Order: sequence, then C-alpha cells, then structure tokens
Amino acid sequence: MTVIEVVERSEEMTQRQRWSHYFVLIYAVVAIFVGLQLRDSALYATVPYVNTQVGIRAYYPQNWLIDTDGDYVFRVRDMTQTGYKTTIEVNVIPVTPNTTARNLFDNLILNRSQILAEFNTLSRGEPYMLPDEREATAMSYVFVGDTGGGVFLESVPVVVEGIDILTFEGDQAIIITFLSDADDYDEHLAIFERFLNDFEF
Amino acid sequence: MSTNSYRLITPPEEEDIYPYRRVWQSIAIESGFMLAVAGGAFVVFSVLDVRLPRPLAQPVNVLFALLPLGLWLIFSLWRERLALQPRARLLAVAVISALVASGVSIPFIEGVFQPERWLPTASAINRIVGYTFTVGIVQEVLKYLVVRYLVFPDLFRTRLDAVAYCAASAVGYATMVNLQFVLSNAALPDIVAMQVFGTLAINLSGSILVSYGMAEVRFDNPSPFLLTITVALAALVNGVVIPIRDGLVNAGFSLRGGTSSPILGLGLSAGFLIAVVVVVSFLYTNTERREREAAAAREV
Repeated sequence: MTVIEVVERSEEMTQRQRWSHYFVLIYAVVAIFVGLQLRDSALYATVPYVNTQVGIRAYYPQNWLIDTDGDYVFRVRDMTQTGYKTTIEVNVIPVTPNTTARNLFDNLILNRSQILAEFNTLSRGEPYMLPDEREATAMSYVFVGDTGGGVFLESVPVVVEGIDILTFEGDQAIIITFLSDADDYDEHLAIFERFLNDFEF
Repeated sequence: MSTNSYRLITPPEEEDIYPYRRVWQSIAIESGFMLAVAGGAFVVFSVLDVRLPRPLAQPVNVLFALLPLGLWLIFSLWRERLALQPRARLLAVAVISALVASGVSIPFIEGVFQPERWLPTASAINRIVGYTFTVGIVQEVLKYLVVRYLVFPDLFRTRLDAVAYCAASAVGYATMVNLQFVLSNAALPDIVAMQVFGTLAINLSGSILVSYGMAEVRFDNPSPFLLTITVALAALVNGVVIPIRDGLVNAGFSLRGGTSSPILGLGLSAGFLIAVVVVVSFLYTNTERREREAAAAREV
C-alpha cells in the first residue's frame, strides 16, 4: 500500500531570516572556540618555580599545591583530584663519577618496597629521551596508595602508577617523579610531559 | 386594548474565542507546581529531617527528575489537544531536544569543555564568562537548532507559538539533564528537587528569550542580529545563574566556617525565571499591540 502524505508547501524564508540563522551559527562557532580557549588557558596555565641553589627552573600547573619542605627539591600535587592526588616531584641527589642509573634505581626500589604497599616495578632502566634531547633513564612502577584522607576520612586504597625519570648533570642526579591514580595515568601523563617540556636544569 | 411595547436591546457581544492554548498560563502552572514541589521537598527532607528508606531514595529522585515532563504533558500537551487549533509537533520538539541533550550536548560538555575541572576553582567573573561560553552556548544553540529545523517557520502561526515550541524544547532538554544528574549522583531528595527546578528554570529562561528572537524573525523584519543577541543573552543567563546558584547551594570553605543556602539557590532560580517571563511577555504584548495599531492605521 502506498501512503501519499499531502502537506502544505513549505513557506519560503526571506533573505533576512536566512541571515539571522547564519549569524546564530557563526556566533555559536566563535563562542565555542572562545570556550575552548578559556578551557585551555585555565587547564594548561602554569606557575614558574625557580631554585637557583639547585639550578632548576620549572613550570607547574596552576592551582596545584607546591611543597618544598620534604626530602625533595619540590613537590606539586593536584589537590582537586577526588582520588589519589596526582603528583610531580623533583629530587636532586649528589653522586660520584662511578654511580650508575642502576645503583640509584636499586636504591629507590629498596626504599620504596619498605614504605609502599604492594610496590612492584613494571620496567626499569628503559632509555628515555628528554625534550631537550638529553638522555635519561626511566623506571615505571605501581603500588597501593591512599587518597590522602589520613585518619579523618574513610577511603578505599587505590592503585597508583608512577614513573621516575633519571638523568645526570655533573655530580648530581636529577630524579623527576610522576605519580597518578592508575585509572587516570594515561590521561594525566600529558600534564607530566608538558612539565618536562618546560623543565630546565 | 393591548399595548405592545418594543424595546431595543443591545445584541449580545460575540466573545472572541481564542483558538490556541494559552502558553504563559501553562508555563506559570508548570513552573509554579514544580517550585512548590521543590519547596515542599526542602521542608520535608531538610527542615523536618524526614529520611527515606534507602531503596526508595532513587525511585523518588527519578520521579522528581521526570516531574517537569509529566507536568508539561498534562498542562501543555494534553490541553493543546483541547484547543481549537492545536499546535503540531510539540511532542516531537520535546523528544528530539531530550535526545540531543543525551546524545550531543551532555557528552560534548563533559568530554570537551570539562567545566568541572576548571570552572569551580576560577574567579567569579571567569566562572560567569566560562559557563556562558561552554554550557550556556551549547545548550541554547542546540535547543534553538531543534526548533529551527523541526517547526520554523511553517508551524509558527502566531508569535506565542515560538514560546510554546521553545518551552517544549526546554522541558525535553532539562528532563534529560536532570535524569543524568539523578542517575549519576546519590543526592538527597530535597537537593534533587531543587536541582530539577533549577535546571528547568535556567532552560525555560533561556528558551523564552530565544523564542522572542525567533518570533520577531518570523513575523517582523528585525535586524538580522536580533536572533543572535537573544541566543547570546540566553547563554549569558546560564552563565550568570549556574555559578551563583552553585555558590549558594554548596557551602564554601573559610576560616569562619561555611554554610549552604539551598533555599536561596531555589529562590534565585525562581526569581530569574519570573524576571525573564515578565520581561519577555511584556515585549510580546508590546509588539502585538504595535502590530494591531499598525494594522488599524492601514485600514484607516
């Protein structure tokens, strides 16, 4: 059976009506572009950190909490994360000419396996090229961490994935560590890569 | 002798029968009912501290989320069928707006703009600008496009048809946003009821503003920028109301401690909706009066 629908002929739109519609579309495209720019400027905004004593200049994400009181040069954490606080940490260790990357990684593994639950290395001694073409060595690992609530908040432990980038500069070894919730690790790694791009020592 | 006295009597005036559903009345009833429900939920669940059994909480929240759609089906769609000249495709506009919200708008806002990652920590001005150019613009442009391609200009017979179709789009869109909120958050019923009203109020305010632009473009010969200005204003309403309402509903952190004022957030949403309805209905009345006067002048 064939159904024939009889409808009124569609009313022709005037030129002015068409242009009204086109202007809305143009405005929408421009506004969305502005929105993306606003997002980028907020999400990728950085704050400089300079330590002339160690000889480091870095740009860490805006709104991350910086801490320089620990046994590291500095550490920044994203406190807005609801789970494990994504962390970037920079450490400088004095070394002798005979010290190798393997020595330092073994030392890190020994220390961490005593203080971190279920600490396991995924890879170590992997060659890593820093953005300024400087050669470095990487070690990636996982452990079970808490979400930072301490004794005041009930929280379920989370799997944390991390990577250490180790490079030598004179008689110093520089270790740049990145830690994130394993579920968000790949997504947040881009932040770390941007951090490395601007890192100078 | 009988005397017949004849008297001249004024013939009864023929009442003008309004052949369409009265749109402002429907919007007032639906919004008023929803506001009363949200206020009632606040009193019951927050002031009287009534606690629902856990298995009942989620169904009640879903009911709250669906309530605006239910009210619209009764007071708009059903009453439309009783009108002499009902508007066609109202349900289609609402359903397609809901699908657009679910399939395009919400994924785009959450996946691309990710406002929750950067706007809550921004300054007040940045939040207003940010919400305007992200959530606001996406919502208002998509709702406009649904009405534009489904019913404009053929099914616009009177100016108020624009309000009816844009309101249908707003209700469909808001329902999907509210359902998504309810299904992804285990919030208390009073918070859900107020959130539902807030989303409905923002969407209705924006759509009513856009409806004025569409009606003018359809029946008058305005500047080609007028429609764009109404869409931009609608996006700005989103940008202003969302951060202020969230600031009132969520307690801030300070050394003096923080207190939330959800009832003020509810009042703000209602106030904005009433202000937009009053201003836009005044504009409609004014335009129609000028149109009648112009027609009368032509006849003379």
